[in-house]
Amino acid sequence: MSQYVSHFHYKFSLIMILTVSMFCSACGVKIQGIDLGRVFDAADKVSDLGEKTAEEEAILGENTIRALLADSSINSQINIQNYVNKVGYWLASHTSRADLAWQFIVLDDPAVNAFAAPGGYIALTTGMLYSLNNEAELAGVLAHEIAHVVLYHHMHALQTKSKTGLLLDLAILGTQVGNATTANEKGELKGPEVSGMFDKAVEDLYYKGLDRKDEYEADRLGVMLSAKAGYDPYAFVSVLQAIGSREGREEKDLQRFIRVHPSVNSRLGSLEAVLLVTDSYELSNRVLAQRYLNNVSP
Amino acid sequence: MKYRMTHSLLLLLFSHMIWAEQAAVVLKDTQILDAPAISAQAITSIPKDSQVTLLKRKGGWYKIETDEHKIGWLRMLKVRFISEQESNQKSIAKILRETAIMPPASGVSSGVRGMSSEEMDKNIKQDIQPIEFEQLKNFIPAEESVREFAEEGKLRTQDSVILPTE
Repeated sequence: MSQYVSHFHYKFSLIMILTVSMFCSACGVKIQGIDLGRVFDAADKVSDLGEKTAEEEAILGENTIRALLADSSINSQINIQNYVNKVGYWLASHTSRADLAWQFIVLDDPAVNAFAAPGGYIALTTGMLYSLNNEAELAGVLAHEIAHVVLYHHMHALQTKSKTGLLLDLAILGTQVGNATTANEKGELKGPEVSGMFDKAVEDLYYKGLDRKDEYEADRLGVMLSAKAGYDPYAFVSVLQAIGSREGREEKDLQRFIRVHPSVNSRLGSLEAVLLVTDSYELSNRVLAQRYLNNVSP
Repeated sequence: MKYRMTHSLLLLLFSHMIWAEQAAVVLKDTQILDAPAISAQAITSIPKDSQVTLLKRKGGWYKIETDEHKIGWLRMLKVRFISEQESNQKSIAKILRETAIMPPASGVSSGVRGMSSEEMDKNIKQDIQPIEFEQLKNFIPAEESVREFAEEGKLRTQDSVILPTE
C-alpha cells in the first residue's frame, strides 16, 4: 500500500515540476536558485523514453555508484588503487567500450564482493582482493564486472525496474536540477522524492542481484576477455571453485556475494563450452602471482 | 617496505602449501592422465566422489594425488573443492592473518603475532588520509602507462580470441 502512496506522491510531484517548468521556461525564472528553464529542458527528456546516450549513462552511473558507496570507505592505499586501475584499464582496452571513462575502486570491506555500475564504475572490496592469489584471478573478477557494463546489464535492469524508463530520466533530471543551482557543487540528486525513488531502485537491484542469465553471460564474456588480454582464463575458474567450497556455510563475509549470484556449480557448468573454445587457441596464459603479491598486501 | 618484503617472502614460502593442502572430490568417474593434455595416457581411473589432493594447476588442469598415492592430471572442471574447514586449505588472507608481523609502536620488532585483516587495515591506515570520491579520477592511468604495465607483465593481446561483442 505504501508503495502505491509513494508512487502516487512521486507522480504528483513530477507533474507539478513539469507544469511549473512549462510556465517558467521561457522567462528564465529562478526559484530557490534553480533555473526552471533548465528543468524544463531536462523534463523534455522525461517524455523521451528511447535509448539513453553515453552522457546519460555516465550521469546514471555516477548517481548509482554514489548511492552504493554512501556507507563505504574507499581504500587509502594509493598503490593498490593504481594497480587495480591498470589491470582494469588493460582489460577494458580490449572491449567494444574501450573509450568509456572506466573507474576501478577498491573499498575497505572484509566482505568478499565486487560489483559494477553503468558508465564503467567497478568496485571491489579488500576482502575480495586478499582472497585472490594472483593477477590472473583479479583479471577474471574485473573482466566479469567489465562484461556487465559492456553488455548494459545494470542499465537494462534499472530500465525494466522503472517500467517505462522514467526512473532513469529522473536521475538525469535530478542531476540537471542540481547543476542549475550554485548550492549543489557535486551535481547530486536534489529533492527527496527524486533521490528517494532512485536510491530505492538501486538498492533493490543490488540487493537482489541481476537476472541469472546476465551473470552467466558476464561469466562467459569475462573469461573470453581475460584470455584476449593475455591472462590465464582458468584463473577465474579457480576463484569460483574457492568460493564454491564456502557455499552453504554461514559465512558473513560471503553472504552478499552468494545471495546475488547463481550457484558456483551452475556457473562452472555454463563456462564449459567457452573454456573449450579458449582451449583451442594457443594462448599466453599469464598468471603473474608475484606481481600481484608485490602490489596487493594489506 | 621491510614489512611488505617480509610478507612477500612468507607468501612465497607458503605458496606451495596453498595447493598442497587443497582437497577436492571428483564430480564423475574420471581417468587420471600422465600429462596435462587430452591426448595423454591414462594412469588410472577413479570413481565419482573420490577425494583427491590438488598439487598444482597448469592452465585448465590440476595435478592431483589420489588416496592410493598415484599422481597424475585431470581437468579443472572435473573437481569440486572441499571446504576450507574440511581440508585446512589456507588462503592468502588466512596466511597473512596468521603470520602478520606488525612493527610494534616502540620500533623494535619482537616477533610474530596474529592479527585479523581488519586489525591490519586499521593499523596501516592510522596515518593515511581517506580518499574522497572526487579523488578517484586521479587513479585513472594514462594510456602509455597501461601499455608499459602490460609489457612489464609480458601481457599481449591474443588476436585469435574474438569476443562475441566485437
